[in-house]
Amino acid sequence: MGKAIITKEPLAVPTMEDPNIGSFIVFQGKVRNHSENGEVQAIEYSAYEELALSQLGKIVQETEEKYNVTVYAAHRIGRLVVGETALVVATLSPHRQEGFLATMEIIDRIKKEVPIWKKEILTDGRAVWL
Amino acid sequence: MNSQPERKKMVNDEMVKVKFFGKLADLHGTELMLENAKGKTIQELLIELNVEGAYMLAVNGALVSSNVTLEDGDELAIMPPVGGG
Repeated sequence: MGKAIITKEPLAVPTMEDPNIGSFIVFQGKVRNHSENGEVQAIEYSAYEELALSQLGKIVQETEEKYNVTVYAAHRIGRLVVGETALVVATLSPHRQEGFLATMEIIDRIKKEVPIWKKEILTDGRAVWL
Repeated sequence: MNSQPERKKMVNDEMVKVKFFGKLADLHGTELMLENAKGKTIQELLIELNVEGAYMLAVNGALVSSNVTLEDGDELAIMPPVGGG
């Protein structure tokens, strides 16, 4: 049984134990110090929180059923500075193949289907919607 | 007796609440109350409000397409392309 979380609090990597599993994959999406727009100081993540949570939950559930994996997906919102973690996706599976496929698919779907937006705050004072 | 399925109301008066997100909130404000939106489709409202770049739409928290007709008490969310992660 997976988990979907939208939170303003710092994210941690979950502890997930299951004697049936041979693979535990963790992806962390972080705020990078540069982009095509310039030198980045922070990113402000905003969301339509209720819908973001239900969309993330749907993605977790559908991916678990498709690949027979257990998924933990958490997205942080608010102002995050360089180096902070915005997204954690952790996938438990019997074997690595389905774990990697599931992890990739979840991240791709989050970027298209979950109502979260990023505003880049640059060191020169500009703010750019991504 | 009303045989129509009950539609969950988010706003308790005779208006439609419109919420904008992301860069659309910078352009149009975060929230708008409309008295004359009842009976219009979302597509008609988007043209009327001069909204460009709507990528996702929701009424009362559920994703919908732009041909949905609005009712009083509805809460419409207009969202630009998303980009989390």
